[in-house]
Amino acid sequence: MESLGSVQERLLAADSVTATLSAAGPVFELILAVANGYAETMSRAFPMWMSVTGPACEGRDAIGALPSAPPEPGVVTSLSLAGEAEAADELGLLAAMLSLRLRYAVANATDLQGCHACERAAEAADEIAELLRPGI
Amino acid sequence: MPGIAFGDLLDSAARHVAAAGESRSAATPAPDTLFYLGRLVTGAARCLRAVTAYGSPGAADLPHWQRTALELHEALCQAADGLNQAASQAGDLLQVRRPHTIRHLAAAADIMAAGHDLLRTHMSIDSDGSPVDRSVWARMVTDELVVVAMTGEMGRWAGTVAAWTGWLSMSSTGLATAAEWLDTAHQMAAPSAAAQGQDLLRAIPSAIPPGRLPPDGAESVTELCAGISVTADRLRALAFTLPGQATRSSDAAAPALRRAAYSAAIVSDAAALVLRTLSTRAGQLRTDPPAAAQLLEASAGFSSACSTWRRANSMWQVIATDTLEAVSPIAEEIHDLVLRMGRLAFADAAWTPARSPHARPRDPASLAATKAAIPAVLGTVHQAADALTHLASAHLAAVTALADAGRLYLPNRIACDESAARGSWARMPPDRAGTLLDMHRVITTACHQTAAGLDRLAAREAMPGSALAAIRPAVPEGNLTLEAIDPQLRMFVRRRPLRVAAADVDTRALVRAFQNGVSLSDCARLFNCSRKSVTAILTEHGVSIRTRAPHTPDTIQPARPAAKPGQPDPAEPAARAEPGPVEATIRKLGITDPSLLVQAAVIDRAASGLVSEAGRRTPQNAAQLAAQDRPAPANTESAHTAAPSSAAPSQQPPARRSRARSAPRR
Repeated sequence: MESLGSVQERLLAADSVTATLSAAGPVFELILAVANGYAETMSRAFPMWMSVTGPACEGRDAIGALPSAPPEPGVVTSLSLAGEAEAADELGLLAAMLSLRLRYAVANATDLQGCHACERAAEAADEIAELLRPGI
Repeated sequence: MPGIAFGDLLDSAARHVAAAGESRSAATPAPDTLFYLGRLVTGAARCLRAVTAYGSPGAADLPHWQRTALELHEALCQAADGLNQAASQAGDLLQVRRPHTIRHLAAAADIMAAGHDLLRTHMSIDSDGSPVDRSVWARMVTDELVVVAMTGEMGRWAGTVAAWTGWLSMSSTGLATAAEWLDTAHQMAAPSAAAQGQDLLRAIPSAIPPGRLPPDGAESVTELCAGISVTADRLRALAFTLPGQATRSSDAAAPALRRAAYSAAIVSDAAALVLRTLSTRAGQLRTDPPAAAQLLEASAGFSSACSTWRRANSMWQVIATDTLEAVSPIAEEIHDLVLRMGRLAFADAAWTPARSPHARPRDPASLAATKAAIPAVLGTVHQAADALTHLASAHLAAVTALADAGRLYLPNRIACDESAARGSWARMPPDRAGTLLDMHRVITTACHQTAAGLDRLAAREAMPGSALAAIRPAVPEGNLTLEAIDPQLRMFVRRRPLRVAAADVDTRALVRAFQNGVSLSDCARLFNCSRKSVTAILTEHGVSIRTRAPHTPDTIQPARPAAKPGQPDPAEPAARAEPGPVEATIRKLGITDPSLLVQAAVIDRAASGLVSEAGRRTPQNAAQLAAQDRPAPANTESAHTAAPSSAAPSQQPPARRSRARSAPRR
């Protein structure tokens, strides 16, 4: 499992459809792992975290990435995220950034399949960003 | 608003007949009165017919209660004929300016006809004339309790109409036949026996669910409760159709199942909070009898159900199906349930999962202002619990169908299927499919327990919804718990070992496979364990070990080829453990997909049977053919030339292989 900084860097550095799609997989996986981790704590935000897992999987599947190995226990704490609220904010921003990159990739995509994958993944990222939007 | 029930129609018809009775006079036209009474009795007879499952009164093997219902139906039909005859003899019907009495009788007859239509929505007739269930109520509509209650109810209606014929006989003639049949019908009904199923009969709704009621973000507690009941009705209807459409429905695609699972977890969590708040309120209002403890117990049931749905969501995160559609009717409906249950639980009329971190639980007094409001909220939660139970059962059936059809996939990192590429999807192995099915059994059991707890509360509080238990699907066998299958769940996402120790074999799946006709050797291959382990597991589960598979072609093999001295008999278990020519070819291609290997083994045995049969018919060639038919993995070409059916398998593996390797369609 990659760290938040690492997936952010890869995403920002992606300069083609292929690179964006390949950077998107770890982003969805990271969001999924964090959402699962916080859902397990059964905090008040349980409905939010559970709802994030759906589009995270759908985004991952849309770009053709396979589910990665389950993260080791404690992965959430190792993500350098100070707390649940901060994690939600950080991941919400990451999802919004992912959506932008994917939509940018759609605009520059030449093959229909890649374009379709980017669109579906962008929709999933939008849904995540909407769920995790700070201050809702 | 919740849909209309059969009892509502009966009450409405009775009100109209009572109003007609109050307004009747000597000036009431007899032909019209007789005509509409005839229609009313016809409607009653048709209602009775709708619950008797198309039985015939002449049939010899009918139970007493069904025979009585059919005889009563016959008596009502005769009475209706008599009334219609008397009406035609009495004169012409009024075309305009019908008096109140006639309008009320006409309305009562129409409502009774609507009652029949409502009952008939639960069943239809297929092309070969047999009834087909169309809703969760279908079985209950023809149940003994309901039929007996209907017999009592329609007998009572016969008595009501008989009183009218008595009044009419003062001014009309030719009513003797109708009156006689109505009296007969009235006497046939047994009110005491009918009382038992009266609630069920009255609760029968239309099989056509009410229209969707999207949440609008400004609903009161009463409106939220009504909306949840509508969604529960719609979910029950959708759940009923899901198993039959599992292999083609978007509701049985992995994303939809995942969404349904986490939504059900959120609903269960919110419902648990509603019950806790209700328990606090019951304590504040000092309800009699005290309900606080029972409400807390029911709340704990929801929390357990929430954990099971959550685990299922985790499993579905690594599973794929042929289609990856996330939008489905069930997902949409259960999302409405999430919003409404959340808004009932939290003090935020616009609550959504995104707003959950900042939401405060609802104030107990705003949930139930008075003691009388508690049963309404409790009834709503009961409806939600029941709908989730139907959904859980439907998911179990749908996932079973998907597993049987080989339409579930895991990343090959987990499945370790040698025929699929390392970085692709592979068919879900039987042991993992068994774990997934066990998970769904656990969910269904947990939902049942939650709903059963609320059934008891509903019965105690005399709440509406007591009929829900009667139409609920059966509890899965085994009474599995989350704790019991926890080791299997932990293994689910781990890499599958090449050889599994006996203790780690999915014993339920193995037993099921053996009972479905898979041989000992095939079980050993499919479950990656030794034959000895398979035998031990089967013995431990009390399964008698057969030497031949009951459903495989070798059981209908008419004759076996004679074995050459010193060579094993192909039909003997030891010999069958050696792969046949087709299976050997498939293995040579590197395919390890269990279902393909089993198919290949079956083809080999069928070919062996065919060759034996040919040999039996031409005795002079039997020994030669038998020798060629014998498994010869090292020299498959010679086997191909010998066995007639072995040409087909040589074409099959590439096609099968590509299917095994192909990723799910997007």
